[in-house]
Amino acid sequence: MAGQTIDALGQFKLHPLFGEFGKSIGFSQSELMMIIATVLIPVLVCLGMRRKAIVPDRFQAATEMCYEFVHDMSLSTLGPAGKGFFPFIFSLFFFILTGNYLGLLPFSFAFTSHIVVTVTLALLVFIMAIIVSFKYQGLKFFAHFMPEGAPVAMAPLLVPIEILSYLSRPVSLSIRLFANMVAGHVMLIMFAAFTIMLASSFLGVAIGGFLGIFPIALNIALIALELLVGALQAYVFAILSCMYLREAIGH
Amino acid sequence: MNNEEKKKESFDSFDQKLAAFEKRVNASKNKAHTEISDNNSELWRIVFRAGVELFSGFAVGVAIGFGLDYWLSTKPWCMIVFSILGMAAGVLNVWRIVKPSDISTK
Repeated sequence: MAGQTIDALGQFKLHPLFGEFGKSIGFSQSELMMIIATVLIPVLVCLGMRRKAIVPDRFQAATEMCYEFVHDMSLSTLGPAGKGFFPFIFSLFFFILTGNYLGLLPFSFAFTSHIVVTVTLALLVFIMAIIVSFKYQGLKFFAHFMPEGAPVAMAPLLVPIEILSYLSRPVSLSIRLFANMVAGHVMLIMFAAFTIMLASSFLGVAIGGFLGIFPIALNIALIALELLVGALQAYVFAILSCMYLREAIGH
Repeated sequence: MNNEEKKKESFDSFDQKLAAFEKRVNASKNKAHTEISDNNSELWRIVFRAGVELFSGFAVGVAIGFGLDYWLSTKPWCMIVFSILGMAAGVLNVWRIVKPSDISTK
């Protein structure tokens, strides 16, 4: 990072871990963070519910709040069928949330900032929605691509548009999460680099170093913003998955 | 028996009190999750979402057009047709976000 250029995207580079073994199976820090996230969520939930007190302590109350939040969300959007999809939505939401938040720790890596990961998650939801809609609606699923009440003569124009609109769902779902995370992390590293550039500039360490406090102050505010964005994006991803599934169940 | 009934009753009233308390403390919990609030601070979220939807429709159209051109070697016709259809799909996506709730079209 030192010097006159800002290497804003170098932080998203993947490095193989664990020497030759990691190199041969392509195990990078992204996979490591995913495994940490996957282990962390059940461990935290189990630890939080260990005492099962009627009057919960803070840890248990936080766990129950998380559970109830996703439970309410899936039931209010999906109706009674939401109970079946709740485990899926819960793991989706907390996998993304934990990934976003783990990425904010120093020396860690935000795996949600890679479009491969977000596209995979979005395709998971998309394919699942298709399977669910075939199960619930059968071949009437295809009737959705023709808007009701439209004249049949318009079908050659309307049907492709509807199909494209349907196909654009996983794209927008994944780009939104990915773009938010990349933008946040690039901004963080830009302001961190400003501090170093100021300190090593012609102003000298005394003045430049002092001025470098301001980018750091801004970075603290940005971390707060990133906490908000991380939660919001996980929420948006989960709620949109719920809405797609609701449409798949519908009628 | 009587004792148990009393116990149940007290539990019921506790639930009611809890529900009333939660309603008072946590008003946002009772809102439906899908509704778009007209809160100004959330406006940028909707704007960003609409932008991504607009772009993704176009991106899918271009991708399909490119793929079909490559497959059928009809350069550039599929690309032209499908990118226009993709733009229309993007506008349709945005319309679904911003449409007033009292309009019942799909």
